[in-house]
Amino acid sequence: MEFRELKQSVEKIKMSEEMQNRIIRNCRASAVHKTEEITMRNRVSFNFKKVVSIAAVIALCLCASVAAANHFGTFKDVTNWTGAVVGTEYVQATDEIEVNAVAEEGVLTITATFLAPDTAPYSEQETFRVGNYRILDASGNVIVDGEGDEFVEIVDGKAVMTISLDGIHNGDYKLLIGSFVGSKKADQPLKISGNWGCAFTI
Amino acid sequence: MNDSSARPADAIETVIRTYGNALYRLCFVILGSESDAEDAVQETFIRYLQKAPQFENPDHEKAWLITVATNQCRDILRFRKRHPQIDSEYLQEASACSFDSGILEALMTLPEKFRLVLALYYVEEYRIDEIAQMVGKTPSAVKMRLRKGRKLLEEVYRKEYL
Repeated sequence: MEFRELKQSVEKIKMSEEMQNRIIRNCRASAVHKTEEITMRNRVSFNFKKVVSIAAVIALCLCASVAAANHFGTFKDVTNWTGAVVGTEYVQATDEIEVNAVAEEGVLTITATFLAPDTAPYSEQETFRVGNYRILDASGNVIVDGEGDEFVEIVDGKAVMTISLDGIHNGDYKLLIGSFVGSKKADQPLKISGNWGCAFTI
Repeated sequence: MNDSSARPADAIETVIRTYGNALYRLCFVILGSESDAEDAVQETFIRYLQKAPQFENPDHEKAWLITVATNQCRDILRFRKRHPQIDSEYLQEASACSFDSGILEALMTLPEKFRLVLALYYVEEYRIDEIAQMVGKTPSAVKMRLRKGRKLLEEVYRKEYL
């Protein structure tokens, strides 16, 4: 069979001039909307909470992505030992979720903000939880290696989750999150993987 | 932090005119629908504006765009699976499109996973390892899909159009 004919046939599929112009227009409009959004965000003032307490100190932390090489997420089949596809996960989502964490009174409150909440897989999730995470001390030793277990509702493209800091003494720590898990009713939970890192102080 | 990769909007016309048709035909082959293919292409270029990295060369840029477009098509296919009432619109649109060659019609009867690798290999002329990277599979999985896809395409083409 001549696959050259396949190439010639497929290459005849083209966008009309009208479709190209429409896409150009919509992309430019999207860029203007994004610029306005950034301007608005920069105008918001931050309020810092201080809790006056003999026993506790509050730390505010900003998270930065650990792996800068990946810029977009992708769905990936999950296979078992025979090679059969048994599920799906979403990988390389580092740049698609912004993570903030605040330590207060023995609890680490983690806020995950979806940067593109109207696109898959985020638009399809109803609840969210932390997946696998680790807490490292100042020397880099892993003092907690855990998995979140409580789903929280997603509201306005954000999920606010908590991790217990029971038994962890005052000091400087680093939170590393390797995955989140999203869920929608009647659907298999979706693991969303990436690399999120956050320094905090108790 | 993510906004630092945003590109100037006035550059987008050149990129769309350069790569638009290649992306559109790939999306059309995967989705079989003009309107869905247009949506996938548009989303791809919006992502390009917002998230594209610095490219080493035009080939790198095109490969990145194709990978993102493929992911967009997958998202649309997933959405279709969860909202099956949309299929009737898709079928009407797909049947309204006329192809001037039996081989293209035969291609469109194959499952999406075969259409994608056949289009990337024979139309865009990517190597197996490059296709593997784009679709997130191993090179041996891509080879298998190409082999099965070729066989299926030949069978359908011979049976229906020769």
